[in-house]
Amino acid sequence: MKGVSKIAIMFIFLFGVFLTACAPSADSSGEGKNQSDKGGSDTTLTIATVNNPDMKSMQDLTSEFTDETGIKVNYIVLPENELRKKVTEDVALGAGKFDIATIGTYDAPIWAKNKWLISLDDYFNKMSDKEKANYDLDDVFAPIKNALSYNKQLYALPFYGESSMLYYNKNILKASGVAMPLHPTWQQVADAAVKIKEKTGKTGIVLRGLPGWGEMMAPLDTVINAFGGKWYNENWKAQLTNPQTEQAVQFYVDLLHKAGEPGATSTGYTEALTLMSQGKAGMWYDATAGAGNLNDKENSNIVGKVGYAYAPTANKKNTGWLYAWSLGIEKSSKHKDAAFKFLTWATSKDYVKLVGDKKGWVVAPPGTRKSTYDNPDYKMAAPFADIVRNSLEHADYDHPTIDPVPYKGVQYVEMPEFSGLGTEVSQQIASAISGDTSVKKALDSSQKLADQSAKKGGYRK
Amino acid sequence: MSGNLISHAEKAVIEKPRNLKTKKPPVKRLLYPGLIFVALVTQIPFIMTIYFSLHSWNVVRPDLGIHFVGLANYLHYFTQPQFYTVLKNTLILTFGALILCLVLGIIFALLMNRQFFAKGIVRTMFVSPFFVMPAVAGIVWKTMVVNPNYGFSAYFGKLTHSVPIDWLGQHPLFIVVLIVTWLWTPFFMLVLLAGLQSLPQDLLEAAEIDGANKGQQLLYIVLPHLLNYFEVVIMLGLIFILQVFGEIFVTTSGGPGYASTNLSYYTYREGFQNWEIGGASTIGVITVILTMIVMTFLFSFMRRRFKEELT
Repeated sequence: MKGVSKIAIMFIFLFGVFLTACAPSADSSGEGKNQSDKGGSDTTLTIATVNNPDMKSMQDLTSEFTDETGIKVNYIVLPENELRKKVTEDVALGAGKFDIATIGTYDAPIWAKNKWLISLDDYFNKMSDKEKANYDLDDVFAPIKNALSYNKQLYALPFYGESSMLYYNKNILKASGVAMPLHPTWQQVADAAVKIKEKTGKTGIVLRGLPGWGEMMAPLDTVINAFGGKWYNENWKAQLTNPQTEQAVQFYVDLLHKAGEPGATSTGYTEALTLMSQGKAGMWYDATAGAGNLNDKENSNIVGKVGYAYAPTANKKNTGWLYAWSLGIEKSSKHKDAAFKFLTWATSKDYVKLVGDKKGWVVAPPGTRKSTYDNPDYKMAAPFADIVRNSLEHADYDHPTIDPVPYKGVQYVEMPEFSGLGTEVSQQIASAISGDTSVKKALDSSQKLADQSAKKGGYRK
Repeated sequence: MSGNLISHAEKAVIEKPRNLKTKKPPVKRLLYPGLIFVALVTQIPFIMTIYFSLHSWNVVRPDLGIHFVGLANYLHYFTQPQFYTVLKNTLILTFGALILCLVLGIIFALLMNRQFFAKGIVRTMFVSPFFVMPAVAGIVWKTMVVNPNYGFSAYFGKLTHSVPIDWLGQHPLFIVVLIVTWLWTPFFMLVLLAGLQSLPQDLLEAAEIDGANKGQQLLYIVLPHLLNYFEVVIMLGLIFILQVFGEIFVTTSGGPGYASTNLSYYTYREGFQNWEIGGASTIGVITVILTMIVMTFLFSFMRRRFKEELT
């Protein structure tokens, strides 16, 4: 009797374990229902996004979208470096966890070529005339649409667009006796930064030093372009050790040493924005998207004291970068229609107005539509609007450097290997910033890496 | 009657050995399911890793395809100077943290092995770092402790009017060693405390009667008794500290350059930054081989040196 009851208990236990293991997961049962339900109720879209302030606004306002269409949206928020890796992994290995991916102008053409995104042209053609007029695709800035296309087809819609510009704290500059022109040169900026440090002891200029092709490499690339440097010549031979490139990198590193923020190699966009908005620095060269946050009373201590200037130049004019965080639909998504609805909602004129009304016009998504910049409410709230608009319309995406080069992209090189190569090179330069090595040695190592990438990727014949 | 009894007894005697022989427990057969399961679950991924390390596969270049390249990946890494930096960092990080944890662990264990007021609370406080997740510990250290703009070190630096040191930029590996030590010392302390508490007090009393002072008691009785525990804790500590990843990921991202990259972070860099699956698999295989070599050396050294004390 004792033996039988023991065996019985064991079997019941094993059976229980077996049942738990075989239970269908919550997702699969929900998805089965959604396949047939094209209308949209009970559909949940999964979107991977960056934790920038504009995306946080989008998260907060998603309830409006759900009320309107019944489609729920599930956000996976990650820091920029990690987001790119996670989404690339998801899409390249076909995992299909995300319906919508937040990608940049860098990723869109590569992913389109690899067939990881679907073309949006078909969906636009299927829209009714009223919907098309309401959305007004022509209102979106042409250079951005160009950067998000491949083979003349559009693959993503821009959520916010940015170029680069110089911010300065008017009070700190006045206290140091420095004046900033509207179109400064890098030498003027460097002199001003040193003077600010001498006179007030505060950081002269905040520049990104956090390693990452989308972190430190972005402003540094524009400096390289400004001084006449480049990554590759027309035969895809690496040019990181040529005199202009070296001069540019040396300038950046020296400026950080003389008047930059301490802990530069841990300072990315978010940290730099914090430093500037707390009044701890005289100047900041970075994305135009920061302007809205520097003027937001909720997050910034220097509202009303911010001055603006175009991206500094050297041998080349027009050094501002071009970037747009955009929304694209993954090929493996099972809710493409619902995803397109969300895409057009989040990038529409109505959405811009929604943010303006609910959160303040100063934080309305910048840099995507001409209509935003014609809107009197926006122009009143955003004194930087004209600089941003001009920078975006004139960004040299197709010809970023003085000499002809075989690649596109202002603050990156438009090739799939760049996410690895740019990060590795930025790591080398970070060693130079922290003093572990010299700029020359860092660039020598980087040159080898760049040559390796060109050969392995099959660009150099 | 007695004849029957005797023959019955004889029968029993004759039958008993036969019964004993056939009643052996089926130990080997019962072990097979567990053994097979463990072998499959642990060895199949490893065999796949070796397979991938022999191929060239770049995830973001599907147009280049996946093709067999033999040992070219291994050759590529052995000829990179970064690889030797990474190797050196791994050894410094592992042995540095291990030695610090051992020293601190034995000190705290000796301290905790006595009765004092609020012993329970103090013990809880000492043990709590072990339960903090590596990523959380890294972020706390990066933004609260060593940040040159906002952290504790900057505050104390300002008090003494010195320039705040950029710890993570100048001494990244040192900070990672500190964080790992902070996380793992409680584990060492607990194991060694268990060892101390299993030491019979009579031995110490006998030694005291024989005239040994506290220092000699420590050196000749306590520490040799703990050697078994040292072996256990070094083995476990070595395995876990060799694979440290989370702390490096959130603080320095392996940088600047390769100054704080260890083998496991290097695997991540190759696999998820450069998107080279073949390369990352190669580093993984090399890590396993290195671990086995280090452990073999360590234990043969310990066996030879402490042969008499270890059972």
